Amino acid sequence: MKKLLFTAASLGLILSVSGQTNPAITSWLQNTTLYGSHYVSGNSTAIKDNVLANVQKVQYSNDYVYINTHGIPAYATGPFLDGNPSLASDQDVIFQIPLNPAKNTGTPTASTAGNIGVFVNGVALFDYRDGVSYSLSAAKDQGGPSGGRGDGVWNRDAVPAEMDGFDCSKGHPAMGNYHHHQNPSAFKLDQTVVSTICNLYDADGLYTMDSTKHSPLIGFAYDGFPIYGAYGHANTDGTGGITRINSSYKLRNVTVRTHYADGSDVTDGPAVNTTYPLGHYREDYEYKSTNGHLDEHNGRFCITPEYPNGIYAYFCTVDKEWNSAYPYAVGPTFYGNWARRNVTSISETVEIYKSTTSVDYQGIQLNTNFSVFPNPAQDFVAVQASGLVENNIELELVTLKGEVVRSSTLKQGSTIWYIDTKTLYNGQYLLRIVQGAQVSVKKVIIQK
Amino acid sequence: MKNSIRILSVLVFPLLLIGFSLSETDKKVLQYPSSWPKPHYNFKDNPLSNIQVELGRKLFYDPILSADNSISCANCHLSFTAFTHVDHALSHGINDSIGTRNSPVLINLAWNKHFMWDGAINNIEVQALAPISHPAEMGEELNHVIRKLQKDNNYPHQFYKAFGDSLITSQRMLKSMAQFQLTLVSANSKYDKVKRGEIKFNEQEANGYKLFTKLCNSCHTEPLFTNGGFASNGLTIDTNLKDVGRFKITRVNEDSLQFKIPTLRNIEFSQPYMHDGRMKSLSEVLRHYSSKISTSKNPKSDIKTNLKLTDNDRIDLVAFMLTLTDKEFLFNPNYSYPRNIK
Repeated sequence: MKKLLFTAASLGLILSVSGQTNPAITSWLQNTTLYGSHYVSGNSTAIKDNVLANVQKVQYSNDYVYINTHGIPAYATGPFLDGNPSLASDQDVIFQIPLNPAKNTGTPTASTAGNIGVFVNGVALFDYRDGVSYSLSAAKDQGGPSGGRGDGVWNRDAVPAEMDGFDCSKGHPAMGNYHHHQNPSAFKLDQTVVSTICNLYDADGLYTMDSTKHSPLIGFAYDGFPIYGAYGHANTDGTGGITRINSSYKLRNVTVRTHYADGSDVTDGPAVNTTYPLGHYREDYEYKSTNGHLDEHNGRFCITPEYPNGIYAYFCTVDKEWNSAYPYAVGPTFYGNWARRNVTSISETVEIYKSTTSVDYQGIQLNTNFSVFPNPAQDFVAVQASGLVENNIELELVTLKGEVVRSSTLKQGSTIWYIDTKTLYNGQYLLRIVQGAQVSVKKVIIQK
Repeated sequence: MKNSIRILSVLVFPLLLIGFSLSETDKKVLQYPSSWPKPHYNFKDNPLSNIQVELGRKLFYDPILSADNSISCANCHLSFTAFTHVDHALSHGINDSIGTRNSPVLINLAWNKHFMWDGAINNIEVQALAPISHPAEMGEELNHVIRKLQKDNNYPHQFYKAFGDSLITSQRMLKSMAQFQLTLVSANSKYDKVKRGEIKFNEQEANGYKLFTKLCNSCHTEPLFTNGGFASNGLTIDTNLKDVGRFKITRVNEDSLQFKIPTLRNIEFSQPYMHDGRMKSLSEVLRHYSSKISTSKNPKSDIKTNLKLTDNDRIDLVAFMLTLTDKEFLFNPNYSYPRNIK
């Protein structure tokens, strides 16, 4: 085991010599064999699609990395139970992410509707908004999926407002473009579960939160800076242990919506009531640097595992119940220089980045931790990988005589596997977890 | 559009005057395997019609039936879990009230002679009155439901389509709801396919079936997996709920702690188990039958001794019970929330 790690580490070293160490090149989940799947309402069995999941190709020049993706995750998507008629569908897009992102020294650019970043599985990140805002003349929310046009002054926050329409992995499509507005972990794994969608339409999200480890790098914003999950180093210099990285936005203490937090008098919104509770609009929040760890863009300059010399990084913020917390990921403004990042073709000389070797290296680093529970088990055993699964992992439950009684694949870009043990006899079994050349074995007892 | 509706109604109206000749085309026949017994329900008195079934389905899914318009029948009877709730033991009603029993599955009701865990009701057409009026369920008054339906934008039209005029009566409402529930037939599980000779049980399931026919079949009788009767299965009384079962209805001593024998069809999806939902898994249920029967604690038990199953027998029985899962039934789009009914 030690030897293997050592070999892998030296392999990583060799790779770094050849110059492919920029996490913006190496972090993408590359896949050419695994297909997406989706649920339809009323059927708890996901339907396989014929669109490849995650990222298909990574190419890079001196200035940019180019990501070919269909925008479909490895976890099953849907159903979207708020009447959203759309399905996660093939985006077939190339994202162009700058390799040397820089701070925007002018006025910060506000995030926009539509894509504002890309997760490492090629899925889009949106900001808080859903295109709906309050219309004073109509005295109700208008715009976006609800039709009409709002004033654009009190902008509805999609995360609470469209809760019913998110799937188990907290995503939904806009005209086919599947995206997350928030931390892409599964609802069911939160400390307090606020949606029942996973009960019937199980999925597992891009990564699992772990309060004891620095979050994996899960994406890049359109200004080129990396996005992490919810946990990071307490201090920006990498010290102080691991802590939940908090947003510095808090709900304002208001009962009427006549002014913004900065005091400016604006077109009125509705008074705070049960239909328009505080938090219904993003203007219900105010920023105070002492509230949390992050700046007004929801990021900070800090040391991370991938950037030992420090980087400006965004975090997907959650509250203590692990429910998404405004501004959720990036925004409301960008730290760096924003540009539209989907291109139709590549117009410079690029090299192809093959992930296999480097991913194995990272895989060993990240994926050695599995929890197997409950153990002893009765009707099922769950295998949960901590962090981000970068390559498919083969799982087998074998009897002590070596007979394989259950087997499956924990897919790249997903995190959990269930073994139905209802019809397995009592006794000791071995769970074999195979990652490339590495095999780890855990004992599982079935006792019912 | 308005014009076309007017033209249509001009065409349709004379047809309606001919009375039930129109509904002949809409007739629906209950489908079930030829090897099954005849249904107990008398369809002659309430012949199925597609349009009345759909009206019943709409009512089944409509919270308008409850006092505060917050819960529908489907709140406790979810189609995907064999028409029962699975995340709690005792049913939840309006105002966060909690009932005293686990909601039963709604499967093959046309063969049921008795309804409710204690058999308090003997006709499906009036069954809905119980949950509608129960203070810990829907807490509503029948007359008020009817008034709400009459004032509704849609229902007068729905009743018009179903009955030829827009008069909304409790009898029509209850008959339609009965019709929808009577169509909930589950007959296409692996067990059924094996019986039809299409596929075979695996070794585990075959052994489970053998044990089942020997030990369980007298109460959970094939093919409906219930004999329709009542029994005390050795459970002790819950000292908080103090539910005496059928005795409450009949006041006959022998009926104390007797509950309706439920079907085992789709049992994989209908946890928790027993009349008060006290058991969470099938292995727990089988542990009860194999080692926890106590005639000293429950002298009324119809099962006098433990079945003394080995661990492997218990698991084989579970494997057999999983063959009673009928996914076609669970995910039948004709049974789920009526999205497309206007």
